[in-house]
Amino acid sequence: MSKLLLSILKRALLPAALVIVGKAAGLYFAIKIFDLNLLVDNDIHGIFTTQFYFTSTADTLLANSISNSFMFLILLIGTLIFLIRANLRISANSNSETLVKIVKLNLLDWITEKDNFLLNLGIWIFFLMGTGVTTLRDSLINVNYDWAAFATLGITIVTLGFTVNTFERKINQVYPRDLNET
Amino acid sequence: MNQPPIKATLNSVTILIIAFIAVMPFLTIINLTPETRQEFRPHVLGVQAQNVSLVDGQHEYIRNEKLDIKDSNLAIYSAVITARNSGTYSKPIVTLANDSNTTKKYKVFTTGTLKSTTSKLGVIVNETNYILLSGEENTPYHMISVKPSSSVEVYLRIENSFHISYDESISIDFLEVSDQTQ
Repeated sequence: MSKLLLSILKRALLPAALVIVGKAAGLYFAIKIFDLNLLVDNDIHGIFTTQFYFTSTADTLLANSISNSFMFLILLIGTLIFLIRANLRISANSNSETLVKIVKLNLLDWITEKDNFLLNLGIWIFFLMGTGVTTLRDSLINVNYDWAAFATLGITIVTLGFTVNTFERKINQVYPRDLNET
Repeated sequence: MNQPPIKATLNSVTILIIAFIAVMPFLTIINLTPETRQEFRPHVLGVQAQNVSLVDGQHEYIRNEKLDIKDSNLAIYSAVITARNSGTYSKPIVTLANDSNTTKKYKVFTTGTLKSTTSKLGVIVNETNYILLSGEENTPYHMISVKPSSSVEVYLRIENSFHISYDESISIDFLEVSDQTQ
């Protein structure tokens, strides 16, 4: 079996589980905090046979926006951790001053851990984009606040930009550009 | 160079598992997305169809709206009025419909109380303001008539002279009365 595929498989399990846990936990917190009345039905049509519903549009909007935002926040934190670690490692490899600063701040464990930050980053950004798209879909069918969906989308695009930049930095480090090239 | 058949099969299976892990969380969160639905009412022989329906919609301070249909002639509207600034707020809450040939009458009253003794709770029907609760004082009830083949929209009206910093639960009863029972 390909080592890369196995590695992707192992690393994808945590963010995939966190997407589901984040959504369910966000929904639970929204119901508890705002004292909402969630109802469960078992209509046999479509793919799913269990449906959750509220009796008012305002409740649906509030609970779903909170659960989507909570799920997105969890994924964003994970992605940012890998983004920072990958950038620190790249900087430390090319710049000894950064390495000294990292040692002084006692953050060496953050970059010397035997793990593939870029692979993790790629997987986490995939799930982050997935949650961004899902939130946008919910906004289009009026079950998510529009401003929350746009904020989610904006943050996703910015994070994606930083991720692409991180990959470019790594590629430039492995295959340096010709210095005479303009 | 060609891969051994077992290795190729294992790789294909791993790719399928990865695809499943990538898609499954998003299908799950689509399933976890709540919908808005009117509460299920069993059709019981002898129980008339209800003429009171929830308007629904959003309001800055009026949340968690519910319409509990107790029996054929009693419907109880409940909601949470959140912390709010001083002022008067209103929102359409229920529609009283009459598809019969005779005028229908509803007793509108509240059995609840308000925590804020300076607030007033009432309803607006056809631009007439009916106060149901003024501080700690309950008005016994108001009669609202609905002409044949017509409907009226009932607005909730809440008035408070001072800023209220806590949430309050309210309920309003709509009792359909016949001429004999008035």
